[in-house]
Amino acid sequence: MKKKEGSVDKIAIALMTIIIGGILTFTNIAFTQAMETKAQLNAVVREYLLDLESNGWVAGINDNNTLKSELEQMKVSDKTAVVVKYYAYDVNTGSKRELTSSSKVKYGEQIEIVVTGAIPITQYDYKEGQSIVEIPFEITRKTVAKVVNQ
Amino acid sequence: MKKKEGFVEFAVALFVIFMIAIMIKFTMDFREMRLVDEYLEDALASAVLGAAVVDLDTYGATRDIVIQGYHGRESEGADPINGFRQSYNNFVESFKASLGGTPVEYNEKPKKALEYGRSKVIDNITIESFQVYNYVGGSYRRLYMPDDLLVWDKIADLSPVVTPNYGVTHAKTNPIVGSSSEYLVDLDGNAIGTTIYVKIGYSLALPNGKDLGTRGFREYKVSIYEEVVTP
Repeated sequence: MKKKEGSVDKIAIALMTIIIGGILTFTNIAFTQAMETKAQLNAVVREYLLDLESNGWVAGINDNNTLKSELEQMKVSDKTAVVVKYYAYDVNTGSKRELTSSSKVKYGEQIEIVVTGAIPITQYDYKEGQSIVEIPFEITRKTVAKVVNQ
Repeated sequence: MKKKEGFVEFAVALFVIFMIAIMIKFTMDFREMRLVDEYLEDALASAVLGAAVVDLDTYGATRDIVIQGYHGRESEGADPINGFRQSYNNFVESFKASLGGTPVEYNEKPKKALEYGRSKVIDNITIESFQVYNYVGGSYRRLYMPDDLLVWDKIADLSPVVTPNYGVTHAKTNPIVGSSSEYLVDLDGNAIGTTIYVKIGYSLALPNGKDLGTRGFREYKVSIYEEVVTP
């Protein structure tokens, strides 16, 4: 079948350009915002850890909610919860144990903090009120406890 | 030959979309590089803080603030190398973990150990310099790894370097020698206490893994001193 010459519709091309350009721009904005949020999350964790450093990490381990609630106030996902976990390492045996608010920490013990959660990318789902697409994040920091709590 | 109608419009549309895509790629790359750079700085800070653990036994016995493992004065049979090893190990393990590295092997060589990263933007991380300055009896005792001995196995071969006149002084009358990154005095010329200084190097690449052929460097220093509280 012979194609018709000049069948390309200028309006269709313009619309297509606008739609594709719009989608790309929207995606760019969404990802940019997500990356900014991640940078802010990093900054909050950094400040928190520097505070902990001055009191030897004990306060942070005993109070597992301060950082979590601080992070939850940022643009994180409602669907995926922010989880903050502390671990301690035994250098001699290489064993790792999770710390709870009642755990004892030895002076000089290696401590690891792992923060996980997700950042929403798309707008909120109008039915569920939750984000549709999310980028998971994990922030891990390891250092050494300076104060004994036992 | 006559061009098909709409060809120009189609080409312009493609060009516009292509340009938008290029701009998006460029901005995303730039942001990711900045993010990873900040991440690296945070990891370095945590690791150096992790290495700066004071030896409580020494502090209790002599009031000297030295890095954990120093175990008193050398004249009394102290083993500063052990402290250095412990401190260095804390640094490497903390740094690796914060960069998303694999589980730590105690004797893993640092160059290999720090090749793991969360992103391709920063790769091939090496420890360029790791120096511990224990401030004991009014002078610093420096322990360090020369660049050509940047291997874990050879740390034990090094002897402690006492460097009262090498870049380190707390007397106002003596000139300070060395690079600014090694200054261990404040603006008034007072000693700033036991210090750990670390310099790392890393390769920069685009997020797609293309090496930019350049290396970046970053330094971090933590000083520990006794806070005097005036009643």
